Amino acid sequence: VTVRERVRRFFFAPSAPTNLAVCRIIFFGWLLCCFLSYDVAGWARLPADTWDPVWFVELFGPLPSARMLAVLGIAWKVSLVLGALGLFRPVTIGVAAVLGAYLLGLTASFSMGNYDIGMPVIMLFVFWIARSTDALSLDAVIARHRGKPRPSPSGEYTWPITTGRVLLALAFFAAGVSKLRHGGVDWIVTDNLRWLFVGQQYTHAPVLNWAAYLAEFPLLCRLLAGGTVALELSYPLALFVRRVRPWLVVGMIGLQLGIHLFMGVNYLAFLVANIFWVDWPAVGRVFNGKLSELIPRVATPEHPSRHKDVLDGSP
Amino acid sequence: VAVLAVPMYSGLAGPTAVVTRAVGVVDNGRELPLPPRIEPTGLHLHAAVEHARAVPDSTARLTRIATAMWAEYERLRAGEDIDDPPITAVRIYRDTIELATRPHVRSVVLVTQGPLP
Repeated sequence: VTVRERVRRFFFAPSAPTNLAVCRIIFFGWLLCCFLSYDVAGWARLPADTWDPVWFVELFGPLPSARMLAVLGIAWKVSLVLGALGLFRPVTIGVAAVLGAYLLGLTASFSMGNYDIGMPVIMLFVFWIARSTDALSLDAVIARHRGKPRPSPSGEYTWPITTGRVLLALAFFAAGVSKLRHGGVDWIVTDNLRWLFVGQQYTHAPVLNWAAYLAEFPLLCRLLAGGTVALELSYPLALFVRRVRPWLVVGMIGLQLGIHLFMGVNYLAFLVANIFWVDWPAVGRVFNGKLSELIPRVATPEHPSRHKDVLDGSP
Repeated sequence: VAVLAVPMYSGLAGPTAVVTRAVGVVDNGRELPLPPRIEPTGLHLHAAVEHARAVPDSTARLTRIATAMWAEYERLRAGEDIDDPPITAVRIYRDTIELATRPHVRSVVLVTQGPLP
Protein backbone atom coordinates (compact mmCIF):
# COMPACT_ATOMS: atom_id res chain seq x y z
CA VAL A 1 0.00 0.00 0.00
CA THR A 2 1.46 3.35 -1.00
CA VAL A 3 1.91 6.22 1.44
CA ARG A 4 -0.67 8.22 -0.50
CA GLU A 5 -3.19 5.42 -0.12
CA ARG A 6 -2.48 5.18 3.62
CA VAL A 7 -3.02 8.91 4.01
CA ARG A 8 -6.23 8.69 1.99
CA ARG A 9 -7.54 5.88 4.19
CA PHE A 10 -6.48 7.73 7.33
CA PHE A 11 -8.44 10.87 6.44
CA PHE A 12 -11.11 9.67 4.03
CA ALA A 13 -12.17 6.13 4.92
CA PRO A 14 -15.96 6.09 4.49
CA SER A 15 -18.01 6.50 7.65
CA ALA A 16 -21.63 7.29 8.49
CA PRO A 17 -22.61 10.94 9.11
CA THR A 18 -23.86 10.25 12.64
CA ASN A 19 -20.53 10.43 14.47
CA LEU A 20 -19.67 13.83 12.99
CA ALA A 21 -23.19 15.07 13.71
CA VAL A 22 -22.98 14.09 17.39
CA CYS A 23 -19.57 15.75 17.59
CA ARG A 24 -21.11 18.91 16.14
CA ILE A 25 -23.92 18.97 18.69
CA ILE A 26 -21.57 18.39 21.64
CA PHE A 27 -18.94 20.82 20.32
CA PHE A 28 -21.34 23.73 19.80
CA GLY A 29 -23.21 22.98 23.03
CA TRP A 30 -19.96 22.84 24.99
CA LEU A 31 -18.68 26.11 23.53
CA LEU A 32 -21.99 27.77 24.33
CA CYS A 33 -21.79 26.59 27.95
CA CYS A 34 -18.15 27.72 28.24
CA PHE A 35 -18.80 31.19 26.81
CA LEU A 36 -22.42 31.90 27.73
CA SER A 37 -21.31 34.42 30.35
CA TYR A 38 -18.48 35.81 28.16
CA ASP A 39 -18.77 39.62 28.45
CA VAL A 40 -17.55 40.60 25.01
CA ALA A 41 -18.27 44.31 25.54
CA GLY A 42 -15.87 44.31 28.50
CA TRP A 43 -12.90 44.54 26.14
CA ALA A 44 -13.89 48.09 25.21
CA ARG A 45 -13.48 49.16 28.84
CA LEU A 46 -9.83 48.08 29.07
CA PRO A 47 -7.01 50.65 28.89
CA ALA A 48 -6.19 51.29 25.24
CA ASP A 49 -2.49 50.69 25.92
CA THR A 50 -3.12 47.01 26.62
CA TRP A 51 -4.41 46.47 23.04
CA ASP A 52 -2.03 44.10 21.24
CA PRO A 53 -4.13 42.17 18.69
CA VAL A 54 -3.24 38.77 17.30
CA TRP A 55 -2.93 38.82 13.51
CA PHE A 56 -6.41 37.60 12.62
CA VAL A 57 -8.01 40.09 15.01
CA GLU A 58 -5.88 42.84 13.52
CA LEU A 59 -7.39 42.03 10.11
CA PHE A 60 -10.71 43.44 11.35
CA GLY A 61 -9.20 46.83 12.19
CA PRO A 62 -9.56 48.86 15.40
CA LEU A 63 -11.56 47.59 18.37
CA PRO A 64 -15.29 48.35 17.89
CA SER A 65 -17.42 50.13 20.49
CA ALA A 66 -18.79 48.31 23.53
CA ARG A 67 -22.27 48.36 22.00
CA MET A 68 -21.06 46.79 18.76
CA LEU A 69 -19.05 44.16 20.66
CA ALA A 70 -22.15 43.29 22.68
CA VAL A 71 -24.17 42.81 19.48
CA LEU A 72 -21.41 40.63 18.00
CA GLY A 73 -21.34 38.59 21.19
CA ILE A 74 -25.08 37.92 21.05
CA ALA A 75 -24.89 37.07 17.34
CA TRP A 76 -22.09 34.58 18.03
CA LYS A 77 -23.96 32.85 20.85
CA VAL A 78 -27.09 32.58 18.68
CA SER A 79 -24.99 31.13 15.87
CA LEU A 80 -23.63 28.51 18.30
CA VAL A 81 -27.20 27.48 19.16
CA LEU A 82 -28.12 27.26 15.47
CA GLY A 83 -24.89 25.36 14.81
CA ALA A 84 -25.83 22.78 17.44
CA LEU A 85 -29.29 22.50 15.90
CA GLY A 86 -27.72 22.25 12.45
CA LEU A 87 -29.80 24.87 10.65
CA PHE A 88 -28.52 26.52 7.42
CA ARG A 89 -24.92 25.40 7.98
CA PRO A 90 -23.24 27.54 5.32
CA VAL A 91 -24.57 30.68 6.99
CA THR A 92 -24.91 29.92 10.69
CA ILE A 93 -21.74 27.89 11.21
CA GLY A 94 -19.90 30.32 8.96
CA VAL A 95 -20.97 33.15 11.25
CA ALA A 96 -20.02 31.05 14.29
CA ALA A 97 -16.56 30.42 12.82
CA VAL A 98 -15.73 33.96 11.70
CA LEU A 99 -17.19 35.65 14.78
CA GLY A 100 -15.66 32.96 16.98
CA ALA A 101 -12.22 33.61 15.52
CA TYR A 102 -12.63 37.32 16.21
CA LEU A 103 -14.29 37.21 19.62
CA LEU A 104 -12.13 34.39 20.99
CA GLY A 105 -9.13 36.06 19.39
CA LEU A 106 -9.89 39.12 21.48
CA THR A 107 -9.10 37.08 24.59
CA ALA A 108 -5.52 36.89 23.32
CA SER A 109 -5.33 40.47 22.05
CA PHE A 110 -4.81 42.43 25.25
CA SER A 111 -1.19 41.71 26.16
CA MET A 112 -1.95 38.16 27.25
CA GLY A 113 -1.96 34.84 25.40
CA ASN A 114 -4.71 32.24 25.64
CA TYR A 115 -3.84 28.60 24.98
CA ASP A 116 -7.47 27.58 25.28
CA ILE A 117 -8.87 29.07 22.07
CA GLY A 118 -6.77 27.84 19.14
CA MET A 119 -8.30 24.39 18.87
CA PRO A 120 -11.96 25.55 19.19
CA VAL A 121 -11.46 28.27 16.56
CA ILE A 122 -9.89 25.90 14.03
CA MET A 123 -12.59 23.30 14.62
CA LEU A 124 -15.34 25.89 14.09
CA PHE A 125 -13.98 26.38 10.57
CA VAL A 126 -13.73 22.62 10.08
CA PHE A 127 -17.40 22.19 11.04
CA TRP A 128 -18.27 25.00 8.63
CA ILE A 129 -16.45 23.47 5.66
CA ALA A 130 -17.40 19.85 6.42
CA ARG A 131 -20.82 18.31 5.78
CA SER A 132 -21.49 18.37 9.49
CA THR A 133 -25.26 18.82 9.32
CA ASP A 134 -26.13 15.85 7.08
CA ALA A 135 -27.54 13.99 10.10
CA LEU A 136 -29.16 14.83 13.44
CA SER A 137 -29.93 18.37 12.30
CA LEU A 138 -32.70 20.60 11.07
CA ASP A 139 -30.90 20.74 7.72
CA ALA A 140 -31.30 16.94 7.52
CA VAL A 141 -35.00 17.16 8.42
CA ILE A 142 -35.52 19.77 5.68
CA ALA A 143 -33.61 17.59 3.20
CA ARG A 144 -35.84 14.56 3.99
CA HIS A 145 -38.94 16.71 3.51
CA ARG A 146 -37.63 17.70 0.09
CA GLY A 147 -37.27 14.04 -0.78
CA LYS A 148 -33.48 13.86 -0.73
CA PRO A 149 -32.10 10.38 0.10
CA ARG A 150 -30.35 9.68 3.39
CA PRO A 151 -26.60 10.26 3.04
CA SER A 152 -24.52 7.14 2.61
CA PRO A 153 -21.16 6.57 4.34
CA SER A 154 -18.45 8.82 2.94
CA GLY A 155 -14.98 10.11 3.63
CA GLU A 156 -16.60 13.53 3.94
CA TYR A 157 -17.70 12.50 7.43
CA THR A 158 -14.31 11.11 8.43
CA TRP A 159 -11.77 13.82 7.65
CA PRO A 160 -13.16 16.42 10.09
CA ILE A 161 -12.88 13.95 12.96
CA THR A 162 -9.41 12.84 11.92
CA THR A 163 -8.39 16.49 11.60
CA GLY A 164 -9.52 17.13 15.19
CA ARG A 165 -7.44 14.19 16.40
CA VAL A 166 -4.37 15.27 14.46
CA LEU A 167 -4.65 18.82 15.82
CA LEU A 168 -4.87 17.48 19.36
CA ALA A 169 -1.84 15.27 18.81
CA LEU A 170 0.16 18.16 17.33
CA ALA A 171 -0.79 20.52 20.16
CA PHE A 172 0.27 18.13 22.92
CA PHE A 173 3.38 16.97 21.09
CA ALA A 174 4.39 20.61 20.56
CA ALA A 175 3.90 21.25 24.29
CA GLY A 176 6.25 18.37 25.12
CA VAL A 177 8.87 19.45 22.57
CA SER A 178 8.64 23.05 23.79
CA LYS A 179 9.42 21.98 27.36
CA LEU A 180 12.51 20.08 26.28
CA ARG A 181 13.55 22.83 23.87
CA HIS A 182 13.28 25.72 26.34
CA GLY A 183 13.69 24.04 29.72
CA GLY A 184 15.67 20.97 28.66
CA VAL A 185 15.97 17.96 30.94
CA ASP A 186 16.06 20.43 33.84
CA TRP A 187 12.31 20.84 33.33
CA ILE A 188 12.03 17.33 34.79
CA VAL A 189 15.02 16.72 37.06
CA THR A 190 15.11 20.04 38.97
CA ASP A 191 12.59 21.60 41.35
CA ASN A 192 10.97 23.42 38.41
CA LEU A 193 7.50 21.86 38.83
CA ARG A 194 7.73 22.19 42.59
CA TRP A 195 8.22 25.96 42.35
CA LEU A 196 5.55 26.15 39.68
CA PHE A 197 3.10 24.40 42.03
CA VAL A 198 3.80 26.87 44.85
CA GLY A 199 4.02 29.96 42.65
CA GLN A 200 0.68 29.25 40.98
CA GLN A 201 -1.01 29.61 44.38
CA TYR A 202 -0.02 33.31 44.25
CA THR A 203 -0.33 34.07 40.55
CA HIS A 204 -3.46 32.08 39.71
CA ALA A 205 -6.63 31.07 41.50
CA PRO A 206 -6.69 27.25 41.49
CA VAL A 207 -9.94 25.54 42.43
CA LEU A 208 -8.01 23.35 44.91
CA ASN A 209 -4.78 24.21 46.73
CA TRP A 210 -3.48 20.63 46.68
CA ALA A 211 -0.49 21.57 44.51
CA ALA A 212 0.97 23.42 47.49
CA TYR A 213 0.96 20.12 49.42
CA LEU A 214 2.36 18.17 46.46
CA ALA A 215 5.26 20.63 46.43
CA GLU A 216 6.33 19.24 49.82
CA PHE A 217 7.49 16.10 47.97
CA PRO A 218 10.23 17.09 45.49
CA LEU A 219 10.73 13.58 44.13
CA LEU A 220 7.01 13.24 43.43
CA CYS A 221 7.10 16.58 41.60
CA ARG A 222 9.94 15.34 39.38
CA LEU A 223 8.04 12.14 38.64
CA LEU A 224 4.98 14.18 37.71
CA ALA A 225 7.11 16.43 35.48
CA GLY A 226 8.63 13.41 33.73
CA GLY A 227 5.20 11.81 33.34
CA THR A 228 3.80 15.00 31.84
CA VAL A 229 6.52 15.30 29.21
CA ALA A 230 6.34 11.56 28.42
CA LEU A 231 2.57 11.76 28.00
CA GLU A 232 2.78 14.82 25.75
CA LEU A 233 5.52 13.38 23.54
CA SER A 234 3.82 10.00 23.20
CA TYR A 235 0.33 11.41 22.55
CA PRO A 236 0.62 11.18 18.71
CA LEU A 237 0.77 7.38 19.15
CA ALA A 238 -2.95 7.60 19.90
CA LEU A 239 -3.48 8.33 16.20
CA PHE A 240 -2.02 5.01 15.08
CA VAL A 241 -1.83 2.52 17.97
CA ARG A 242 -5.30 1.56 19.13
CA ARG A 243 -4.04 -0.42 22.11
CA VAL A 244 -2.54 2.65 23.82
CA ARG A 245 -5.18 5.12 22.66
CA PRO A 246 -7.51 4.91 25.69
CA TRP A 247 -4.60 5.31 28.11
CA LEU A 248 -3.14 8.33 26.33
CA VAL A 249 -6.47 10.07 25.80
CA VAL A 250 -7.84 9.49 29.28
CA GLY A 251 -4.42 10.29 30.78
CA MET A 252 -4.27 13.61 28.95
CA ILE A 253 -7.83 14.52 29.92
CA GLY A 254 -6.84 13.81 33.53
CA LEU A 255 -3.72 15.94 33.13
CA GLN A 256 -5.70 18.87 31.72
CA LEU A 257 -8.32 18.62 34.45
CA GLY A 258 -5.52 18.40 37.04
CA ILE A 259 -3.86 21.53 35.65
CA HIS A 260 -7.22 23.30 35.76
CA LEU A 261 -8.08 22.23 39.31
CA PHE A 262 -4.65 22.45 40.95
CA MET A 263 -2.89 25.18 38.96
CA GLY A 264 -5.76 27.40 37.89
CA VAL A 265 -5.04 27.26 34.15
CA ASN A 266 -8.28 27.03 32.19
CA TYR A 267 -8.39 24.40 29.45
CA LEU A 268 -12.14 23.83 29.54
CA ALA A 269 -12.84 24.97 25.96
CA PHE A 270 -9.86 22.97 24.67
CA LEU A 271 -11.12 19.81 26.42
CA VAL A 272 -14.07 19.53 24.05
CA ALA A 273 -11.73 18.37 21.27
CA ASN A 274 -11.52 14.99 23.03
CA ILE A 275 -14.98 14.21 21.63
CA PHE A 276 -13.27 13.30 18.37
CA TRP A 277 -11.81 10.18 19.97
CA VAL A 278 -15.19 8.75 20.87
CA ASP A 279 -17.30 6.50 18.65
CA TRP A 280 -20.61 8.11 19.54
CA PRO A 281 -22.85 5.60 17.74
CA ALA A 282 -21.20 2.92 19.91
CA VAL A 283 -21.93 4.99 23.01
CA GLY A 284 -25.50 5.32 21.77
CA ARG A 285 -25.75 1.57 21.40
CA VAL A 286 -24.57 1.14 24.97
CA PHE A 287 -27.14 3.61 26.26
CA ASN A 288 -29.85 2.05 24.11
CA GLY A 289 -29.52 -1.13 26.11
CA LYS A 290 -27.65 -3.02 23.43
CA LEU A 291 -24.68 -3.70 25.69
CA SER A 292 -25.23 -7.38 25.15
CA GLU A 293 -24.30 -6.96 21.49
CA LEU A 294 -20.94 -5.50 22.41
CA ILE A 295 -19.94 -7.79 25.26
CA PRO A 296 -19.46 -10.95 23.15
CA ARG A 297 -17.09 -8.95 20.93
CA VAL A 298 -14.77 -8.17 23.83
CA ALA A 299 -12.87 -11.41 23.56
CA THR A 300 -12.49 -11.48 19.78
CA PRO A 301 -9.14 -10.60 18.22
CA GLU A 302 -10.75 -7.84 16.17
CA HIS A 303 -12.19 -6.21 19.28
CA PRO A 304 -9.73 -6.77 22.14
CA SER A 305 -11.57 -4.55 24.57
CA ARG A 306 -14.89 -2.81 25.02
CA HIS A 307 -13.00 0.47 25.47
CA LYS A 308 -11.81 0.13 21.90
CA ASP A 309 -15.38 0.19 20.66
CA VAL A 310 -16.27 3.37 22.49
CA LEU A 311 -13.02 5.30 22.59
CA ASP A 312 -12.11 4.78 19.01
CA GLY A 313 -14.24 5.94 16.14
CA SER A 314 -11.77 4.80 13.51
CA PRO A 315 -13.46 3.19 10.55
CA VAL B 1 7.74 26.66 14.15
CA ALA B 2 5.03 29.11 15.21
CA VAL B 3 3.35 26.43 17.31
CA LEU B 4 6.61 25.52 19.02
CA ALA B 5 7.23 29.20 19.79
CA VAL B 6 4.25 29.19 22.20
CA PRO B 7 5.83 28.90 25.68
CA MET B 8 3.26 26.51 27.28
CA TYR B 9 5.04 26.66 30.66
CA SER B 10 8.16 25.45 28.92
CA GLY B 11 10.58 27.76 30.76
CA LEU B 12 12.11 26.86 34.10
CA ALA B 13 10.35 28.16 37.20
CA GLY B 14 12.53 29.36 40.04
CA PRO B 15 11.88 29.87 43.76
CA THR B 16 10.15 33.23 43.23
CA ALA B 17 6.69 34.26 42.13
CA VAL B 18 5.75 37.69 40.85
CA VAL B 19 2.30 39.20 41.34
CA THR B 20 1.09 42.52 39.98
CA ARG B 21 -1.76 44.33 41.73
CA ALA B 22 -3.51 47.67 41.45
CA VAL B 23 -4.86 49.73 44.33
CA GLY B 24 -6.81 52.96 44.57
CA VAL B 25 -5.47 55.85 46.64
CA VAL B 26 -8.06 57.74 48.70
CA ASP B 27 -7.67 61.33 49.96
CA ASN B 28 -5.79 60.53 53.16
CA GLY B 29 -3.24 58.44 51.28
CA ARG B 30 -4.80 55.15 52.33
CA GLU B 31 -4.79 52.41 49.69
CA LEU B 32 -7.83 50.29 48.87
CA PRO B 33 -8.06 47.24 46.61
CA LEU B 34 -9.87 48.09 43.38
CA PRO B 35 -13.18 46.37 42.68
CA PRO B 36 -12.81 43.44 40.26
CA ARG B 37 -14.79 45.37 37.63
CA ILE B 38 -11.79 47.65 37.14
CA GLU B 39 -9.84 45.65 34.62
CA PRO B 40 -7.31 44.34 33.88
CA THR B 41 -7.00 42.38 37.11
CA GLY B 42 -4.91 39.49 38.40
CA LEU B 43 -2.90 37.59 35.83
CA HIS B 44 -4.15 39.84 33.02
CA LEU B 45 -2.88 42.94 34.83
CA HIS B 46 0.45 41.22 35.37
CA ALA B 47 0.71 40.31 31.67
CA ALA B 48 -0.29 43.81 30.56
CA VAL B 49 2.26 45.45 32.85
CA GLU B 50 5.03 43.04 31.84
CA HIS B 51 4.19 43.73 28.20
CA ALA B 52 4.26 47.49 28.77
CA ARG B 53 7.57 47.28 30.66
CA ALA B 54 9.15 45.65 27.62
CA VAL B 55 8.45 48.48 25.16
CA PRO B 56 10.61 51.60 24.68
CA ASP B 57 8.08 54.12 26.07
CA SER B 58 7.29 51.93 29.06
CA THR B 59 7.14 54.70 31.70
CA ALA B 60 4.56 56.74 29.80
CA ARG B 61 2.61 53.67 28.78
CA LEU B 62 2.39 52.33 32.34
CA THR B 63 1.20 55.72 33.58
CA ARG B 64 -1.48 55.77 30.88
CA ILE B 65 -2.67 52.31 31.93
CA ALA B 66 -2.98 53.39 35.58
CA THR B 67 -4.72 56.61 34.52
CA ALA B 68 -7.19 54.68 32.36
CA MET B 69 -8.01 52.41 35.30
CA TRP B 70 -8.54 55.45 37.51
CA ALA B 71 -10.82 57.01 34.88
CA GLU B 72 -12.84 53.80 34.58
CA TYR B 73 -13.21 53.67 38.37
CA GLU B 74 -14.46 57.23 38.52
CA ARG B 75 -16.80 56.64 35.58
CA LEU B 76 -18.40 53.66 37.35
CA ARG B 77 -18.56 55.62 40.61
CA ALA B 78 -20.21 58.60 38.93
CA GLY B 79 -22.75 56.26 37.38
CA GLU B 80 -23.32 54.68 40.80
CA ASP B 81 -22.34 51.30 39.38
CA ILE B 82 -19.93 50.91 42.30
CA ASP B 83 -20.38 52.14 45.85
CA ASP B 84 -16.74 52.90 46.67
CA PRO B 85 -15.05 56.13 47.87
CA PRO B 86 -13.48 58.57 45.40
CA ILE B 87 -9.81 57.93 44.65
CA THR B 88 -7.10 60.35 43.61
CA ALA B 89 -4.96 57.83 41.75
CA VAL B 90 -4.35 54.20 40.91
CA ARG B 91 -1.04 52.67 41.94
CA ILE B 92 0.30 49.48 40.40
CA TYR B 93 2.65 47.36 42.52
CA ARG B 94 4.86 44.44 41.63
CA ASP B 95 5.24 41.96 44.48
CA THR B 96 8.08 39.45 44.41
CA ILE B 97 7.54 36.47 46.70
CA GLU B 98 10.42 34.29 47.81
CA LEU B 99 9.08 30.74 47.84
CA ALA B 100 12.12 29.02 49.36
CA THR B 101 11.78 30.78 52.71
CA ARG B 102 9.37 29.87 55.54
CA PRO B 103 7.24 31.89 55.71
CA HIS B 104 7.46 33.23 52.17
CA VAL B 105 8.93 36.73 52.06
CA ARG B 106 7.27 39.43 49.94
CA SER B 107 9.08 42.49 48.57
CA VAL B 108 7.03 45.27 47.00
CA VAL B 109 7.99 47.72 44.25
CA LEU B 110 5.81 50.58 42.98
CA VAL B 111 5.66 50.23 39.20
CA THR B 112 3.59 53.27 38.34
CA GLN B 113 0.91 55.67 39.45
CA GLY B 114 -1.73 57.47 37.45
CA PRO B 115 -2.90 60.10 37.01
CA LEU B 116 0.31 61.85 38.00
CA PRO B 117 -0.05 64.46 40.80
